[in-house]
Amino acid sequence: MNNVKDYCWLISQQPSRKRLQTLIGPSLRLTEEGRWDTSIRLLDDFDWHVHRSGQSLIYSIPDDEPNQGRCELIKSDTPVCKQDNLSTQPVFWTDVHGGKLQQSLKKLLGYSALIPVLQVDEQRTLLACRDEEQKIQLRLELIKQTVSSQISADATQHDRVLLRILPLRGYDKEATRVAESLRRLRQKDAELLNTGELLALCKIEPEAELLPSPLPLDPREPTGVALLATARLLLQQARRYEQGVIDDTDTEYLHQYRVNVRRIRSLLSLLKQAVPDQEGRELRQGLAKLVRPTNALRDMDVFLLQQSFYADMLPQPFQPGLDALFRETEQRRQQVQQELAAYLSSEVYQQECRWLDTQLKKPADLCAPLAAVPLRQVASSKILKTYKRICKLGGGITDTTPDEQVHDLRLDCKKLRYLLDFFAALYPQEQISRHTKALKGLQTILGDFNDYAVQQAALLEQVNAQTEPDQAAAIHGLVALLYQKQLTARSQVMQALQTFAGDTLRADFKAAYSLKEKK
Amino acid sequence: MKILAIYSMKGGVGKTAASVNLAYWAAASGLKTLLIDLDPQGASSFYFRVKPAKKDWGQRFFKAYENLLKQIRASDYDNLDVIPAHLSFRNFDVVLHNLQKRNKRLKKVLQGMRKEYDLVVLDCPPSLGNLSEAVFTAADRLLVPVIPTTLSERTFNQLLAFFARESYSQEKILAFFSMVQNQKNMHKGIQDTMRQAWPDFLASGIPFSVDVENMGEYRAPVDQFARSKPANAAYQSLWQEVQNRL
Ligand SMILES: Nc1ncnc2c1ncn2[C@@H]1O[C@H](COP(=O)(O)OP(=O)(O)OP(=O)(O)O)[C@@H](O)[C@H]1O
Ligand SMILES: [Mg+2]
Repeated sequence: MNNVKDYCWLISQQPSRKRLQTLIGPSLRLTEEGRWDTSIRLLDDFDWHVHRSGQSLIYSIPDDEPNQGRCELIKSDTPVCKQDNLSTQPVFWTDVHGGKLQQSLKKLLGYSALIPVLQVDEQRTLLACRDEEQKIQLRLELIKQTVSSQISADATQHDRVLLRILPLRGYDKEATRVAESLRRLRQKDAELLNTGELLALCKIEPEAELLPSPLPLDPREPTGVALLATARLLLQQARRYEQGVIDDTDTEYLHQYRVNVRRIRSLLSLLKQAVPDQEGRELRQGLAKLVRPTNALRDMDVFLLQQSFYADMLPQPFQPGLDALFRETEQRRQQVQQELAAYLSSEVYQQECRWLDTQLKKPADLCAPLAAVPLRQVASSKILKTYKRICKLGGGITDTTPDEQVHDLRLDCKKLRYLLDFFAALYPQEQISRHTKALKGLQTILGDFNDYAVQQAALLEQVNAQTEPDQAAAIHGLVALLYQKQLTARSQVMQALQTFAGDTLRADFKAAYSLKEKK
Repeated sequence: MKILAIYSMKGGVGKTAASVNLAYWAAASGLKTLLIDLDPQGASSFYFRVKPAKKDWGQRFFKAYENLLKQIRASDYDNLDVIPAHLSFRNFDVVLHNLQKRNKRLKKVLQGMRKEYDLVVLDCPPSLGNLSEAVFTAADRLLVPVIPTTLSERTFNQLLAFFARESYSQEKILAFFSMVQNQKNMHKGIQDTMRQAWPDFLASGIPFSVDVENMGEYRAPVDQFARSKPANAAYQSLWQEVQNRL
């Protein structure tokens, strides 16, 4: 009901009541309305999805009601949505029961776990400015915040003092006047609970932890040099997720670990001729060695994450069998996870990583055929070539072509996607998004087609002579349904291809990535 | 958004005391509440220490809700805003008389508050005229304080008769006993007969109490200075009953 904007200032130190009264002048009298301490936590996931969305996620517990936690999403100190009565601090989006907040968190977090990032202890004092009839004309709030990081080893507490001026509707003039007279206290505008500001206070820089997007590239740089530099960045990023895999915080750590290692591998194979043969092969083998021990756990994660999707597909009589299947997988997963954690903590693994690191830090050997060619030239020709190959392959696909060819097409689409991702910095952003968007449509269908096939295979692998009959029934039921879905996806491939390989996009790609246009 | 009018054509029956305390409890229960002081004497504005506007804006009151928005003042309490009275409000009957569709005028202009408020409370002056008829049309509920005396009984029956004659919906009317002195036999007897005749009397009544009188001295709702007193509990339970009937 208040259309007047609040002021929120960072000030250098807590002013005394007397000083405030002097600054405001005799026409308004300051009275204390209340004083209270609160303690809140800022939550985010490991990849800062909440912070990157420009919002802050706050968890607080009222002193008098320890079982009534509140979780609130705010943007510029304005509530976006909240959920009350939480008995524990939420970890996954599913822990926030129902409501708008759950939907927002689902979108922001996916499978990622929330971790406490910062603890903010506040001492607040609320003051009223009253006129000669004791009517409140506006309020002031002094807030002393003590901020400490929950994620870095550094336990230093950082203090800051904020002054809020809270106008009341219909009394804007007084508020403006008071703000003017207090302005000398102001250091700068601030937000009460802006994750970015509070992180900066604790010297935590999310941007420095995350891969820059797009990857920083120079169009003129020799391809061999750029390749190694990018690979180093990606390896560093992958290793950032190790601890979370070891701690088993959520499934996303392993996923991201693998994604980043896979990105290095595809970069190396896409730009094969930019490193000497022997070296390239060794690097790819080294990376494969990193990923191989993670396969089993990831397969199980993927299966377990499908739990509700599968459960929704099958009728009631099959549910007990399906439940048993998931329980058994969960048990086996524990074992597999511990093995992987042990491996990642082992000396063997460390050695492997050190070796890779040394290899990537070596100066680029410019003898390889593409090593010395400027990056943009290589990028453009690769993108165009891959696009053309997709069009050509796609042109031969009808509703009756064998599935293998569809799989080949999918792999080429994936390559093109990697190329557009890697080299995004070399082209206008708008162009890359346009092409990525066009590609995504086709990729989704091809991806579904492939996922359903893979899921069927994974399920069937779980059946053997010893399988309990009810579990086998559930599995066969699922396979039949997934097969139907696969057929549906398959039937959409041609339509999607027509758009992607159509004249308009073809001309667009040609114009955007032809080499002639350079110079 | 609901519109609750506190109305009686009789003066001094506790309309303003009820408006102030009910609006206060409505706001405390989380409803975004706007109290409009329609009485040119400005008693409820006085209780909230909100001064009337300097300029005479009564002429513009029924024209467009934007005129009203400019006059809104925050009270000292969360969720509770006030539009203070102005002396020029005494001409409302004439102002309305010169407008077309005068009965619907108030309702229409209040619809503009829908985006911001859950509840509008109207503290009405004691009269029967164009303004009151506009109130009868606008209000979702008409809350009538009745002092349990023979005279008040008569006034209340006149109101019911007026509603019947002019085809206003009697269902809008809710009544409660005000300034009740149960030690007086007459008060007791009249409450019983009236309840029998008119079943829509609310169970909670407001006792005659010095704590209500003291509102004038403290210039605040009873809860602010006599929290543990019966009169405070009475207003609180009256609000709960009214809320269920809105
Ligand atoms: N329950 C009560 N007990 C004692 N005094 C009361 C009570 N209710 C109201 N009064 C007092 O009676 C007087 C009239 O009350 P109030 O102003 O609320 O009535 P009203 O119906 O709004 O009057 P008006 O018709 O003049 O607007 C005030 O002085 C008020 O303090
Ligand atoms: Mg009155």
